[in-house]
Amino acid sequence: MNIVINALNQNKKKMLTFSAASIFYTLFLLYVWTLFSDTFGDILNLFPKQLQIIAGFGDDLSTAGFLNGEFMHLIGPIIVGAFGITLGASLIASEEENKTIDQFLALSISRNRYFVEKFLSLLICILILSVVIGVTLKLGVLIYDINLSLKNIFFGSMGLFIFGATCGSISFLFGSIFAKNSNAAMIGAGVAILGYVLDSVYKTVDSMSFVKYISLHYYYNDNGVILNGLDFKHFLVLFSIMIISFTLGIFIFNKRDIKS
Amino acid sequence: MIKVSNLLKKYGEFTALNKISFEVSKGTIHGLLGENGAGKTTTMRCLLGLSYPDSGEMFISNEKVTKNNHKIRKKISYLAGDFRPYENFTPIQYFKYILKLEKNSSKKYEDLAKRFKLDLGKKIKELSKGNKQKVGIVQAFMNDPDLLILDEPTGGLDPNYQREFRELIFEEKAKGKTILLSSHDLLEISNCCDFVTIIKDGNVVASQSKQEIEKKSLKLIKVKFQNLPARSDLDKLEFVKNLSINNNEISFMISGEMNGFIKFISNHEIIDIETESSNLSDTLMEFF
Repeated sequence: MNIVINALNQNKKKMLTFSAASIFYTLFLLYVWTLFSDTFGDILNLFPKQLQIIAGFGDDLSTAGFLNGEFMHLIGPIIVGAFGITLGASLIASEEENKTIDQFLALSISRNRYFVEKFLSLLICILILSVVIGVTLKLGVLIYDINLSLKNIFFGSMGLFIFGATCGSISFLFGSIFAKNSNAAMIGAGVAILGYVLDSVYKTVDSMSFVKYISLHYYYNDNGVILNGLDFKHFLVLFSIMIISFTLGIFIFNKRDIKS
Repeated sequence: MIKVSNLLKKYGEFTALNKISFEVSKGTIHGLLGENGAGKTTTMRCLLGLSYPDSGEMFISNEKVTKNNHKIRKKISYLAGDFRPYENFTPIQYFKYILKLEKNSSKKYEDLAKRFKLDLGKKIKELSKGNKQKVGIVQAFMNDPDLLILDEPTGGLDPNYQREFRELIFEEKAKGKTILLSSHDLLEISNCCDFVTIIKDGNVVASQSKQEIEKKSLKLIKVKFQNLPARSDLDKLEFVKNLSINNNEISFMISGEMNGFIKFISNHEIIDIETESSNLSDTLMEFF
């Protein structure tokens, strides 16, 4: 586990930055909610139904319903997704770009161990950020005395974790293939953004509903993850993407030369 | 200790190693000499499993180097030519981390750090290039390996520490350790190594002991004749280079077999003869 601990240590600044941003935004959002929670339904009705759907709002006018649209649909995935993507892209690729990897792999450490521990550290970092968001939500509930169940908080945190881990796995895969941090991050971000766009397209254009099947966002939040938890089939799809990214990544990483 | 046989490595159309073969005996200091881009680093990276050859075989202590045989590296230490540790670590944190990964509790780094006057508590990013190189040298020697693979190990070191480094590798050799050292510095190779393998454009052009190379070392010879021999006879002399004629005196470089030359001058009346041997580094230069 030494490589995991080292990776956590190397990325603590990034983790602290993203955590601080998450804490600030979550508490701010909950504060805003306290200001207009009574009139949320009226405000929502000012917008066309189609726009409400695109923004991720449904008929639920509770705190969880508000957070589902305002936080879980866009800002939450942006924060956790960006964290997962940048971290996943850098964990192996940056070490190759910086050439710090040479001394490690010249030790009696197998490439498998190196890859597995790096992947584990990716999951642990994303889990920590998701837990920070969950704890902040709970803290917000206590500070502002609002109604949001622990179950909703758990669903929300886990949903973000799965989404971040999926995006992170994709960029981790490309980082381990190309050994180029920027390329891997761009591919990961591209997949995530495309997923969001396709999610909006399928919700508004009936004839294009098939595109939802290639959208990460659809699998992540179509079910209203903070309200209902992850749909099991959708979870399986996201989990499969992680497994495929891991398996393909470790296979290629074992086959290729380390960049010199 | 090391056997490299027909190692071929290509990067696309570029052949980095063209079926090279050489052997490194146990307990020796073996130099890999070549210009930048000759293939020295690629050879070392193949031995360490950082790059995979297209064909050929490599053995370390009679064990075949394969993609999955990472345990073979338990007895090897490596110092990369472009050594890059984690910049936000202090040297002591870095050494402890490496030792932990290797499950090694050696404290040898303390003595080595003292010897090279390395500040263990300063962040690596704050160290000068030479001090960073010392971190690399300490990490290479601290876990008491049987085989040290050192790629351009003295880059950035000042002359005092280059001498200290030479003493260190001689001590390790005396303990029976094997050292494979790459350099494009002829002086470093001629000062340190028992054997030299010269690589040029991915090919081994020579792999010999220092003594064998020294035997072939060039000698500058100046001969003053009573009557200068005919130019056509002089041109027939074997192993002669850079022949120049000035009045009755000729000067030239000669290497290897001298019998022909001695027979030749015995047939002429000689006024004076001077010889001067070149050093090993001049001889090595002949291969480039």
